Amino acid sequence: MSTASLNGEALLSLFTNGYRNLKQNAETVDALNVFPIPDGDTGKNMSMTWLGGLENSSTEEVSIEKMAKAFSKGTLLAARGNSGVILSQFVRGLMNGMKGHESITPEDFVLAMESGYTKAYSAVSVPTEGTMLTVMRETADSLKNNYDPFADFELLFDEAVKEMKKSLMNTPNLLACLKEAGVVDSGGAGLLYLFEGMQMALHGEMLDGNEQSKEAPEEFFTPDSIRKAMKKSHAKYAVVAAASGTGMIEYFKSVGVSAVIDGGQTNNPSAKAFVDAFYAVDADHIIVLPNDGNIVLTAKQAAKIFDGDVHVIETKSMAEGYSAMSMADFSLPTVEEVIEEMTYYLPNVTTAYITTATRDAQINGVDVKEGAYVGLTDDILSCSSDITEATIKMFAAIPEIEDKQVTCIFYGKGISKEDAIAMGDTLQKAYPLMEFGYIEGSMEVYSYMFAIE
Amino acid sequence: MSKYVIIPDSGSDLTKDLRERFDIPEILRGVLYYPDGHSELADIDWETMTPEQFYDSMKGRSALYRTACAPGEEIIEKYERWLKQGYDIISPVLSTALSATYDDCKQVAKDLLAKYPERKITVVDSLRYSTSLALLVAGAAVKRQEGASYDEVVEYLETEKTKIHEIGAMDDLYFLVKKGRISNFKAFFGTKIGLNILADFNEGGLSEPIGKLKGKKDAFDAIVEYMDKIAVNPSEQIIFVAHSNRLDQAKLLADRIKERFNPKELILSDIGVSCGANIGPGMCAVFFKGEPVSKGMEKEKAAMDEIIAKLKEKK
Repeated sequence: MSTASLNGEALLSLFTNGYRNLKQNAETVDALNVFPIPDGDTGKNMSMTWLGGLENSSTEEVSIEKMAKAFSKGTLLAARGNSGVILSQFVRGLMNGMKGHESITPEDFVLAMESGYTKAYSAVSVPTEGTMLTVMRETADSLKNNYDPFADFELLFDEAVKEMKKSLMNTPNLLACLKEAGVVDSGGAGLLYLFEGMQMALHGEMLDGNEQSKEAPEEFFTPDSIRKAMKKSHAKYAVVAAASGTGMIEYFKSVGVSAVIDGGQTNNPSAKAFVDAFYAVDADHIIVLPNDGNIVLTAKQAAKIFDGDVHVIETKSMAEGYSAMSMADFSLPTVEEVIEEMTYYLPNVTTAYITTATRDAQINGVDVKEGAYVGLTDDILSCSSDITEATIKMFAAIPEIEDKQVTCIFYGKGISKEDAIAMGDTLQKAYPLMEFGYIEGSMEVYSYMFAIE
Repeated sequence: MSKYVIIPDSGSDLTKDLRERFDIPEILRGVLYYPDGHSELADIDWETMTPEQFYDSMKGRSALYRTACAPGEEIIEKYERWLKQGYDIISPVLSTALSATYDDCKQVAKDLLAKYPERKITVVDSLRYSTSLALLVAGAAVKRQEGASYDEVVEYLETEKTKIHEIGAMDDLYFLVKKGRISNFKAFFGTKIGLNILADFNEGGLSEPIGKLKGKKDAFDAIVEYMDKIAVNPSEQIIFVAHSNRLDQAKLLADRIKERFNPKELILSDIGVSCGANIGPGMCAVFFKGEPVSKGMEKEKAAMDEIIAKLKEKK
């Protein structure tokens, strides 16, 4: 096929296929969206904008000028989001290039693209390079300056798509936030999908409007290996923590602990386990959370053995470790400042547990019965066959409990989230101003652990 | 002197009561995409759902709403309605840091002025959003009600916008982070139970965390102290306290502010759908005027550091 000129009807059919291609790839475009606002809606916004143009155009309009006018008006009205507004302005400029024509040649189209990007640039108060603007400008300029006049639209779109892709792949080199996120520009990608759809139409490949979304091409994203390497070379701080209970281990990982050593009261980890972890995390400054009174010394020992900057925050329970991580801010410039933040609430943390008594005893004035629930901090504070009663009594016996503001409830093996929330609701009645949160700790020894701050 | 109207966008979270009171006849409504994918113009007066329903639907981070700036046809319709009647327009809109509304309105204004060459439209990039924009608009509206000219009101908006501060507590940063509405967010991981992120606006108009404290009691202590350091003549100001589904907390905070500063007026308002979709439930903040935000927020950060250090000493 060779298409030497396009009238309104023909161009609209290209635009329709462009829309379908964009729509099928809209999720990819959304996923690329990090600039200017990383809200993952570029694909949706561009599709909606383009659709506005299609809906405002008549499929029977032969004059390209009239079709262009209607399409442009439609996109301007439907424009959504930054990408949509820029796209609609590009269309506006593009369509200005069709004024006075019943049909257009490839050369007219190249000139119209130039008019398109000029309009788009002028619509943005602060044009940023490395975005859709760059992609439209570089493509149009290259088509105009580096090629002989195109004999037909097939040739033009084949080259346009190539140029556009080249420009798109270069966007991370122009805009730092793209490079950081390991993506190409989302708006530029959206534009490429539109043009690619038009190219397909010219080659007789009309897309089905109802086709499913497509998978994202890997080339638009920095490979994982490179991203990891980039991350690693920037690891200024790392936290190594000891924890026991699958839920607790997962929790610490989820809040940014780089290495969790499986160990606690019943299976104290070795200094070697810590040293191995220090090597593995490979950071300038390593912060250690032993999370158990019996592990503090081991961690300190490991810190001495290891040739590097290691700081041990003497957390004596996982609840204290939780408090430290909940305040951690790794954007601070010095490790001293990071530690200062992490230890801000530590003197205020009370760690309390509910567990089961293994034998009868009389401790701290509490009559403990084998098999009953025991509430304890450093001392045994309560005992009851009823878990709620044991908990309430324990809370009541904690000094200065009225000054505490926040309690995180870690629930152990055999306790469901619903059980934990019911416990929290009961406690809420006794302490109406306190805030409660829940984390699945899956601890083996304790039914509950409370971090009371 | 020619007649003029002030037309902000729905990012200003101006409730019906406030629009009537401040004589704001129109709001440019942004688009709200519902979790099921359909979209509507923002329901600015809670006609189709209550604030509780809206914020409850976002609980557990289950539903994600999306927003987009007011569509061209909405801007054209609202502007043209007043141009036709011979009014000039001042349109203070959402920060360009967050939305394309400003560029969009400028474009529409340019097109419409070709049709109405004798009229004026000034679109103002407020560098603010939500209740802070409401506070700015309220100030401009008071000026207008006092008889200020078109140019005086435009100048007021331009000079006062960077003086607007917020200080608030936020239970959950999830939505703000997810929607890119907060600066310097990399510092914070995951849900933090009972942790309040205290934020003010930076020079670019984005909320930026400047401190964090656990528990509402500590947070409210810090908020009041921060206002004491940053606000200029709070007793002569209209001060807003706004919340997203935290009415009880907002009332407590409002009482503490009234008690401490005795402002000219304290307006308690809620965050509407346009901003609420990006903020999520759990915000409680006060909005007031101070000096223009300092470079790199140095002054604001130093003030908060001092407050947090003092709170620690007390413990």
